[in-house]
Amino acid sequence: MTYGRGILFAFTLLIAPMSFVYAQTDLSAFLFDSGTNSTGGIQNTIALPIDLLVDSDSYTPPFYRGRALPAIGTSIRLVAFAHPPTISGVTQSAGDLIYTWKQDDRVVGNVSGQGRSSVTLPSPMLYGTSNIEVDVESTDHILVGSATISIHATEPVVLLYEDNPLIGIAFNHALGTSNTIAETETTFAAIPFFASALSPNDSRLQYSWMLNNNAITPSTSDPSELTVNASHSNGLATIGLSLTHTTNIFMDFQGTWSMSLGSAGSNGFSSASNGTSDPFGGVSQ
Amino acid sequence: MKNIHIPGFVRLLVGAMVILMLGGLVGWYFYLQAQKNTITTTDTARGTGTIAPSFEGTTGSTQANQAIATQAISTDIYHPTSTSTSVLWQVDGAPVAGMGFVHTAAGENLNYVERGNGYVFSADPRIESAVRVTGTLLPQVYEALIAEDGSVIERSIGASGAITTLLGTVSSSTPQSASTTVTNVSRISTNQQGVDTQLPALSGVYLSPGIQSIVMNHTTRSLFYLTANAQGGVDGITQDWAGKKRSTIFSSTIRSWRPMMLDDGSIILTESPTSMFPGYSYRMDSKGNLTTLVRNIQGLTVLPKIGSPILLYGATSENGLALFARSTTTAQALGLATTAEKCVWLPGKSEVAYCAVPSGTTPINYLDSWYQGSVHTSDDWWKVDVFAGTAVRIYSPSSNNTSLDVRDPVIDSSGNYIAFINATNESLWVLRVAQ
Repeated sequence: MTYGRGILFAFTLLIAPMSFVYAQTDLSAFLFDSGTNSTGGIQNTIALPIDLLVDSDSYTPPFYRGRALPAIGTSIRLVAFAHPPTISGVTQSAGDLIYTWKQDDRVVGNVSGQGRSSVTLPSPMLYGTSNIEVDVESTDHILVGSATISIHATEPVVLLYEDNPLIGIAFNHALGTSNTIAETETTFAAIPFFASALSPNDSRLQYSWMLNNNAITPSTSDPSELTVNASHSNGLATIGLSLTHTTNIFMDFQGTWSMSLGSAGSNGFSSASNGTSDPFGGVSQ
Repeated sequence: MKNIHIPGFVRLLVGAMVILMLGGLVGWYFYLQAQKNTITTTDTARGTGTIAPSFEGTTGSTQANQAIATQAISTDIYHPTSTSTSVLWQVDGAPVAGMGFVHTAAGENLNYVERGNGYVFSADPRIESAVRVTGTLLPQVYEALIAEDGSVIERSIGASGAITTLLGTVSSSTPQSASTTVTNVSRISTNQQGVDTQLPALSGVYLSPGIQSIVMNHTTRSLFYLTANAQGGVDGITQDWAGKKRSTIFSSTIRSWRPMMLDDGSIILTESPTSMFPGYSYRMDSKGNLTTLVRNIQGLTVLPKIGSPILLYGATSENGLALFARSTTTAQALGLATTAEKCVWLPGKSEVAYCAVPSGTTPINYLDSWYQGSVHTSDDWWKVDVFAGTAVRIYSPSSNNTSLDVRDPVIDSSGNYIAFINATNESLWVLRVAQ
């Protein structure tokens, strides 16, 4: 099937009102190209604008406003959003289009095909980059478009926040390397952004907490949190965290944070626990 | 009786000692007065000259303390002789979950919800006072939305870890006991006469748990929200406040979306911003059909204008942030290094926006770090006239030794007040803007 001059004229008229919508688009995408059809004859093709959207199944906490980013061990989710032009007498829905997905120049056959506008692909290995391309065309090969994106694998970002009984987790303020905390007893929550996990307490995540170089046995129910009580201490603490993943050997986070908590005292910490132990004074929680 | 003879020099010595002691006491008095004045001046300069909270007596109530505290802060810091013409007013120093302007008989008030208790407060920016209007305790409110009629959406995290969403209204009577009704577990204790009383409860219904994000038409209270679907993506659902007309109009494998609902009813869907990847933004009609607004912009943030094709959008690059305006076919760089979500459009037909602009350079991957709370900025307020192509700095909080990282700005319908949250500590502020 080829489009005649009448349709050509009609589509040309439609370019003007659409130019606002696609202000950031290379308008040459709407120009007609000459191509060769399967029988060897010359036919016109219409460049098809493709939006290639990407995120990941990686973990982000509730109310997070940013995007879930692909990190090592997670999957990339992609959607090719095609914009078939509306041309008099011709209807072409996105579901009718044929999508050919390629990852690093290899066609991924099991996710390609008619109507396959969404795919899930593995993230690149650590420090690697994956080039993903999608070619889209109509069944009559008139509408043709493609889009590419280069995805660099990131490492999960592990940040520490205060978890207040009334406020909840203060996601607005990630703790830095040196912190002053007003309260004497404080719960700290570790949030593993972009990890391959369903929650911070996912059983695949292995937390190892340290307080002033003393190991703290993680809570079985809430291993991502650590409660520190400095009521009988000088309030100074160094919190250490090692976070690994049972099925992803590349996830190996090590972090330390210095804390100066509310009240002054005489000795070391009276208690520091996930509800399990006291590394200093032998006072059980 | 024999008189005791006291030698003259002794009497003279005692008299001199008495005079010296009195003189010393008088001197000590004036010394202490001078120290007290110094401390008061220092406290005032620090903004800590707030009257200590009281919980009993003629002013013993939370809302009274709130009013005293907020009034003192704004007066002390910015305009010691007036509370009605402050350029900047700290409405609440406690973390705030969300806010919105509501219509009252006296004009527009700013209603807001504190994160730690879920109480709804109403602030009058004209006289810089705030009072609590609900007595229902709901701790750990992470997000709140306010409709023009005062209805409230409060969102928290349930025991299962799923997000809970309460559609609440301020009751005019004692709350009913029902599984879907919020129990009035905390009531304000006293009024100004010290008599036990009760503030209205916040009653309502909970939507299904796990709603990822929700937006509301502030006028009609119609809702659009995204909730996880079985395929790991999200479904987009519309419904009215009463739970009727529920319809799934959108479905996506991508779950990182930021919805907006303008007061003209249009829904804007933008990919969640990141400095790492390009973003796309769409306008969605009532049937879920998407029309591209902006496409393929790194670090995309978008602010459409109601009833107009004009929009602001932010982008990131290795050079930092950049803000653009687009009214016709071309985008115009505004020369401001900020994001669209730090801006508000002046209501009406003018093409004027107010934007908070970080005063320093922002780091690489600023957007992601800002959303994670690991980076904060100190912002100045700018007035941008897109039509005239001008941008003028109108206020710098640093001139008052204040650093504000602006988040979620909203403007009243008159265009006189911009309310925003300081992302550093989630305190609530109002900026008075001159027209």
